[in-house]
Formats: sequence, structure tokens, C-alpha cells
Amino acid sequence: MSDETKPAPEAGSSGVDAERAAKVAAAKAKAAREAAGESPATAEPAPADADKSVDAEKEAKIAAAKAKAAAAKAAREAADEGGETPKPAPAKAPAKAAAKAPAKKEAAPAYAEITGDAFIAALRAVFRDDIKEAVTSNGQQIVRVVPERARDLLWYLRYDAAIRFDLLTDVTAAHYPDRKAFEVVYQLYSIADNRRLRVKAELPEDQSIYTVCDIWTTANWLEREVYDMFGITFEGHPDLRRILLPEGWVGFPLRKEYPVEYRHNEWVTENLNILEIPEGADLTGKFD
Amino acid sequence: MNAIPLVTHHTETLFDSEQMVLSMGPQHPSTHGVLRVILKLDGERVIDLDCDIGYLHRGAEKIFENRLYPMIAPYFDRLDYIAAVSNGLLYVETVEKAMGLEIPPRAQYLRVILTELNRLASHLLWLATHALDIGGFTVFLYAFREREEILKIFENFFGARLTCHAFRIGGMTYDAYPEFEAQVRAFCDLFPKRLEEYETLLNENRIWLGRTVGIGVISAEDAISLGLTGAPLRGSGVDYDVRKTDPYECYADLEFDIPIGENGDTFDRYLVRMEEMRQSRRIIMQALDRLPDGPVMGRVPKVIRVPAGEVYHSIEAPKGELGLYLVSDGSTKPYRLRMRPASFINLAALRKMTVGSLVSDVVAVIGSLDIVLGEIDR
Repeated sequence: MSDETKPAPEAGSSGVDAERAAKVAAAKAKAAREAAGESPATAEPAPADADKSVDAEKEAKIAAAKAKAAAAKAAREAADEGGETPKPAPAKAPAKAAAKAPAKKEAAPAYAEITGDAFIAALRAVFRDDIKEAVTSNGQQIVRVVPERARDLLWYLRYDAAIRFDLLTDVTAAHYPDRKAFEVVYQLYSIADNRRLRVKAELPEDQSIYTVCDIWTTANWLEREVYDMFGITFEGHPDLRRILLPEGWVGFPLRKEYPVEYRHNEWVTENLNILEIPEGADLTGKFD
Repeated sequence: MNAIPLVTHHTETLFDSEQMVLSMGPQHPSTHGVLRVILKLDGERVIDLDCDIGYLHRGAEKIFENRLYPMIAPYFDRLDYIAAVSNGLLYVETVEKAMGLEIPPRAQYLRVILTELNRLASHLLWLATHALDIGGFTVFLYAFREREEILKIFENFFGARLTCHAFRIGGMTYDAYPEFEAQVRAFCDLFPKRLEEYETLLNENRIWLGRTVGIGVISAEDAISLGLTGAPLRGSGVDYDVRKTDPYECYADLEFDIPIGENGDTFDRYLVRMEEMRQSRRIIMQALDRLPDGPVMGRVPKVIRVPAGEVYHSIEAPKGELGLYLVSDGSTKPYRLRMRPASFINLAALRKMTVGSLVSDVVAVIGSLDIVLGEIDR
């Protein structure tokens, strides 16, 4: 009976099958426990219990909400009589407004130097002049590093630093043609400390940067995409080829000089079997 | 990773060869869109695998750089089209964060309700197609029945079923329609019973267990190294949910739990998502109870101009951590707008999860990763 449900077990894999059967049994037991309402492994509240308490709580909450709404309405009416525009009184709003007020001012600089952060100070002590600056923008910390040491810094942040940034959230880049450079951007996150850090390396257009594939596996595809879109070469990458665009595509679309509306006629005729392109068709127009 | 030639053929000679390169997709029902998986097989066993993506590439990030801020928003609905509301939320929140805008509380609560409804719709679609891939046709029909109810609410609210779009920078375009609350409550009352129905069909199902338990196992350590987020990461026992670690909108005021798996296999990812649906319902009920009165649109300048600087913002989308990195030069267009695609990064784990297993397991694992190609290819 059990064999019928299994996808063609190979000869000599009976050990694997036995293991599988044991796992199935364990999972079934788990599922049964859950169904019975005993503390399930993956969820804190058993659904049945949660419902009862929710129902009981709901009544109270609805009553509270109604009272709140009535109070708000009364307040609004009073305000209307006074000739003022109604304004809801959210619990969080005043604090939020106060916190965000400085950001709105014109004078606030886009990037502010980080001072008094022990972790950043420790990083500076280790990497000295290789860290060009450590700044914040919109309250988020950014460390600029020379591209030659970017990999060392990232290795250090993953394995040796006081706060271990174990999750590489993203790798991307931005193109700055006026500086003839790219900025390669690494977004890091530390699960244990719930902290984010952005590492940026300014890379001259004709230089390459070393891969971080062996530090985080996720960098494999992310660096391929950066290569695909910007043409940045990652030295030591095991499989650096285009990922979103087809092989043989000419140019790197996210470079600023690449036009937004553009068709590579040769490629199209060759690969899409469109044999005729109207004479004088202008395919390099701009939107604005 | 060794590059596999992108040509489908039998290696060397037809009959003597033991290895075969097989192209699964791009037109394959189990690849959930235009994903092509190139399999190197020894009989039924997968020796190596490579994903060929980009069939849906529209150059979204290039387009963003050439559009005014308000014009960009609708593009996001077309990225992850299964969870258009979440994607829209990500964009408007990022711009709001960079501009320091304040959102009226009513808009915050409505956004949370709609986003969580969208999470339910997305998870239901995942459950339906995942079960269908593995042979559970009934679950497919049942899950679509409930998804339809959510889509009806969306149609009333947004005027669209799939590319839902009502979030604006600074709040929402319009308020909820009169019957919105009653309809959502009716759905929430019904939903737990329906969830139990699915579980009745699956939790004891011998075929389901045989196809999911111990399949596509990924350890917590590998999952972190692979950058997995969402249910694939939590299924491996890592407690990471952006709604808790970095709460946005009004999530800090709401009570909910983050379900965690143990074994990191397809079955645990299934359990995690099922429990997430229960928690989403809990969030919706709380948000409805507390839904404040007031305006839904805050004060926004006529011309949206983001101050120079940069910001990274992420939300917990149904597929995982969806991030947006905005670099602004102070003009009316973003200098660079990069999306961290959760599906793209989760899909990269497919190779690690399936090499050494059977072809049929590849189908199960693709289903359990819950990818959407519109977001992968952008």
C-alpha cells in the first residue's frame, strides 16, 4: 500500500524509505496533536482556544471601540462649533511628528556623520583609513569603504565583529557617470541584534570588485544581477553570467548612459525573427 | 555552480547515456509562470539544476528612474501581481519614509487590513497551486472559493481584482466603502472553518505527507546564508519577521504571533503558512475593532520631491522580505530605485534544496517556495 503512493523507489534505497516512513509517522502524530488542540509545535495558541478567547474579547473590544468612536465624534463636533478643522487624536502622532520634524527642514544635511556609536568606532579602529566615512541618512547607518577592502570588511562583519551581520539582505549598485564610478551597495542585517547596516564601496568604472559569494551564498545571484545590469565584474565569482537578460545582449541597462527607450536592432532581428525594421525608426526617444 | 549549457539535448548518444538534460518550462504548469528549470538527470535523480529566468523582464528599475514619484506606484502592482497590495504598500511607505510624511491613523489601519487580506489571498493561491502540483485537486477548488471572497472585497474597494491600487503617497485615495467592514468580518468569521477543511484534507493525507515530509530540507544556517526570508526561513526555525523586528504602519499596536517550523522541510513550510493565515485573520479582526475615524489622506506637497539622501525600507510581504532601496538626488524622480525581490532570492535556494532528490520533489519544492515570476524578473 505504501509503495503505491511513493514515486518509484530505487533499488537499494530501502533505508531511505524506512526513514521517510518514520518521518511521515512523526508528522502525522504532530498533525494529530494539533488537531486535538494540544500545544502545537509551530503555533502558540491552539486555534480552537484562540477562537473562544477572541470571541469573548471581541465583545469588550467592540464596546471599547464604540465608546472611543463616540468620544471622538463628540470631540469633533465640539471642535466644529469652535470653527476649527477636525483633527483625529492618534496616540502615536505627536511623538512621531516630533521625531520627524527635523527631517523636513531644508537645512538638514542628506548625510550626517556618525558620532558616539561604539560599534562604528570599533570598526574604524580595525579598518582605519580604509573606512572613508560612516554616515547616516534618514537614520540609517552607512559605512563607505575603499573597494579593495570591501570584502575584508564584509567578512569581518559576518564572522568577527561584536555584532554579527549574518543576513546579506541585498547587493546592488548605482551608477554615477559624473564621477565615472559605481557605488556597490551591500545591505546587511543582524538577526540576533536586529540591526541594519549598509556598506558602500565606490568603484571606478574600469575596476572590478571581489565577490562575497563564499561569505553568503545569496550573493551568487545578486552579484550576477549587478553584473547583468551594470557590467560590474566580480572577481572570483564562480558563475558570472547574465541572469535576467538573455545571453548575447549588448550593453548594461541600468548604466545612466543606456537610453530608456531603446532597441538593439541587430539582436532583435537575429533572435526574435523580426526581419524588417522600418527605415528611419527613431527608437532612442525620451519620455519627458 | 557549474554552468549548464542552455541547450536541451541528450548528452552524447541517446541510448548509452546515463545523464540527460531536461528543460522544465517555461511553459509548464508546475513552474508557476514563465520559469524554466534546466535539470541534469540521472534517471529520476537530479544531479544538477539551473534556473533560467528573465522571460518577464520589463526593465522596471530603469523605468522607475525616468518616472515622477506618483507615476511609479502602479508599476509595483505588476511586479508581484499575486500580492499587489503589499507591493503598493512597500513603495508608498518608502517614499513616505524618505520624505518624513505622516500618515493618518485610519489610513494606517485600512492599509494593514487590506495588506493582510492580500496575504490571505496570496497564501490561498499558494496552497491551491501547491496542492494541485502534488495531486490534491480538491484543495485547489476549495482555496479558490475563499480567494474569490477576498477578490470580491478587493473589487469593491479597488475596482480591480488583481492589480489592486488605492495607496497613495501620504495615505489612501479613497475611504472604505460602506459595507467593507461587514464583508470583511463575515469573511473572517467563516475563514477558520475553511482552514480546518483544508487541514482535514491534507494533514492526514498519506500522499501529501509522503510528498512533503523530509522533502527540500534546508537547515537554518544554510537558509540564512542563502538569504531566505518569509516562510522558507521561518520553516527552518529562524524567528525573523519584519512586522515584528521593524514594525511599520500600526503593526506595533497589534497582537500576533510568528509561527516557526522545526525541520525546514516542505511540510514545515506548509504548517508555517497555514498558521500565518490564522494570525493574519487575527490581525484583521483587531484592526477592524480598532479602526479609527478620520481622514485617510495626510498633508502632501503638490509636487512630490524627495530630499537628497537614501533610504532602505522593507516590509513582510507574503513571499518574504520585500525591500526597496531609494537613492534620491532631491529631484522629482528617483536617482536609483532598487527592489529587493523576495521571490528572486528564495528561488536561488532551489538548487541547494533539490539536488540529489527526485524530479517530482523539484515540483513540490518550487511550490513550497511560493515564487511569483513577475517579481523575480521585474
